[in-house]
Amino acid sequence: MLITSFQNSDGFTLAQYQSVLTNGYILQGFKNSITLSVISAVIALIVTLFAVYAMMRFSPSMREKILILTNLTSNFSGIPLAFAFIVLLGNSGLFTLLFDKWGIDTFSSFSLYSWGGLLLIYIYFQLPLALMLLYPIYDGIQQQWKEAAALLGASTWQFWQKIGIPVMLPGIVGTFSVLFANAMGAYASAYALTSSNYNLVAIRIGSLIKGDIFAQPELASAIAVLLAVTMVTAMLLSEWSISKTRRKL
Amino acid sequence: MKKRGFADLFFLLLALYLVLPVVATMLYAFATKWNKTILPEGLTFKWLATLFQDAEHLGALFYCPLGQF
Repeated sequence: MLITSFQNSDGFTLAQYQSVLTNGYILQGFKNSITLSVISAVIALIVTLFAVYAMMRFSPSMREKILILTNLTSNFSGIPLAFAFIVLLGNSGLFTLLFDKWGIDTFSSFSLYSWGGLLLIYIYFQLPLALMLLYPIYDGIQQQWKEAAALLGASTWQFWQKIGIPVMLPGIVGTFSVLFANAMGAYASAYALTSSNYNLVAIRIGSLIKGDIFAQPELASAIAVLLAVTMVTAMLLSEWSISKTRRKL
Repeated sequence: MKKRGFADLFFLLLALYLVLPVVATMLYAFATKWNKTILPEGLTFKWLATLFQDAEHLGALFYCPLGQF
């Protein structure tokens, strides 16, 4: 891929990168992808943090069942997932018709085939992954610490502020970078939902390889390399912030 | 106790969000017709029967990279 991205019919060239970086359409794809990925990752992370907190209060056997369920739904992605959301929220989806019947216009006018719909689907496939990554991190916080803190007179809020969150922070940041990369690389569900109407990087690459007009694998490779660079940058940033917080502790 | 109830409700909503699309897909597999109604108009095994009579699908399901059997 790296080699292909530096080639054209004449041999070595940087023209592919030049055309990526000067093409407003592709840059907009990057912007859309990054926005969608960051927002879906943040929402999934916050929801999962509370969910894991709620989950730890269940019995171990119940937790086991929940993990099985999360595992199952984490494999429910791509085109089947887009189909399921169309059944529920599409033009004549279950909830669309239900809200229409009840006369709740704000919900019945919701369009699944837009940014909002994409965000819902992205959050859907982020949630199980976030839950599976955060569960062991949360599990690492031991009951004894809470008891010790309580014995020393700390409130629950103080415990989370001074001990709980700082201990979990590296894991949370790491989870965020995994979620971000997960969303950046997602293709099938977004394509199934909006075909190529919504401009995302993965969809740009796909259309350049398949050749909606004509195939340009070299340009696609250059975009893919830049996509990989974005993900690696996000990973390095999270590593850097983790090492920085570790030093502060 | 009140706090506990809120946490449970929150988790229930999350579980619903995760399970509903799976259930909807399952229901669609058994629906006779589900175009303009909130729930399917009827239930049927027709689609499953069609699926398992389709040679191409069976071939894909039991596809063996080492050769056909």
